[in-house]
Amino acid sequence: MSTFDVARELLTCCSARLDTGPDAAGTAFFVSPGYAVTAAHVAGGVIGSAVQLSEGTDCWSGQVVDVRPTTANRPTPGAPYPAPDLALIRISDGPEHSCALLRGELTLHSRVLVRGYTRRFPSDGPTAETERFKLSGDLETPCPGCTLLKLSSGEVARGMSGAPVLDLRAGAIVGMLRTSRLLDSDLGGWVVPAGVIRESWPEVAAAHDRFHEHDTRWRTKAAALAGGQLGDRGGSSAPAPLIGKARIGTMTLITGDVGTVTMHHHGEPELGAS
Amino acid sequence: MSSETGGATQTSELVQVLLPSGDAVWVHVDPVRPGATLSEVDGPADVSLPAWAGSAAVKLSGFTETIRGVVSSVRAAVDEHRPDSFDVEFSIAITVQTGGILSVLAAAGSAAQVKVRATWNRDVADSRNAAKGVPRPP
Repeated sequence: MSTFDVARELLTCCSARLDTGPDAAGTAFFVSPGYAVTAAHVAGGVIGSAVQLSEGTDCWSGQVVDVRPTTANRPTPGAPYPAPDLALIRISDGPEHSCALLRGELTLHSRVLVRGYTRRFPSDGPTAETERFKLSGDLETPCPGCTLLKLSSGEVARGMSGAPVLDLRAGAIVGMLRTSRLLDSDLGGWVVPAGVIRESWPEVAAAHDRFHEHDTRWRTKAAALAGGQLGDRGGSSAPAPLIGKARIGTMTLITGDVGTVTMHHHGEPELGAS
Repeated sequence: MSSETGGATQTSELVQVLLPSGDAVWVHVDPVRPGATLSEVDGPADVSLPAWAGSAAVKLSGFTETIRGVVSSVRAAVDEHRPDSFDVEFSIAITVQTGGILSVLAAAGSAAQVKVRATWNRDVADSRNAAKGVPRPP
């Protein structure tokens, strides 16, 4: 199995096509049992709307239970959504699912892979598309504690909002793609760091940590990526066990104040071969 | 299809639009954000997948309201001067933004333009003034 295959499998097992109604769609990814995240602008910036997630033959029903910020804070229609641009989806019905391993450490020029649902290929609906990028910097926002990551050397297509961003060296999700720096170009885009996602919903982050403490299959799979570069090695990795699955459960959500978001990461599981 | 905008290349998209009459037509729409300045046209854009990116025809929002609003406003503005006729000239641009296709007043240069021409018929004005007892000017 090549490094690319491993990376794609990690992204596929945690991401899904997201339909938020007749007007918009995008991508979402599972971060803890029963919870997924996407961009607030994909959800219309509205709490309470029903959404559908689908991946292959699996389908999930859910509801947007929080957005950061709400549309009330949106200054200009059509302008990029205010930071951080996050929405939390609570899954109410659907099969078991896996969870992304969130981790927030990146170095300049790190290589990442994104998987989102686009309409690049003519078909009845969006299809999955991957794209590789390079971390080129960051972008401070008016939102305290929310500094976005800037990606370059790759094209961000419509439909990739809410897509998970996988660090190809660490094998962990480092953030959520939200914005293209320039459509129809390879200038890349903006990413909400994993740390901001974790700090936005600490209870979800705690459930994420518990999941990965008990289920090491993501880390086992990700170990095949450690130290490698996409496409420059492959074939030597033994097939890893199936990616972990989580049961959809219930959780009390306590929403925090986005103004207190920090970039510190607490209790994250260490990556590496187990 | 691409067009030059302020020295940068901007790509328009072919979209099937549902007119207020119910007819579906294909139009080239520009991804210009309402209210955006020229320098912002080619800037960052959120990348959700709106309905207009699909295969189904998308309802054109604001078309009727834009025309009605402009004409009504001009008429209200000139009505007290009682012109015998007035012409209103303006352009409507069809643009895309997150969530749908939008009709907006088209910008000529850096601002939207509405041209108004009001005319008074001298004979009609004279007879109107005569009925009011207003003397005819020399």
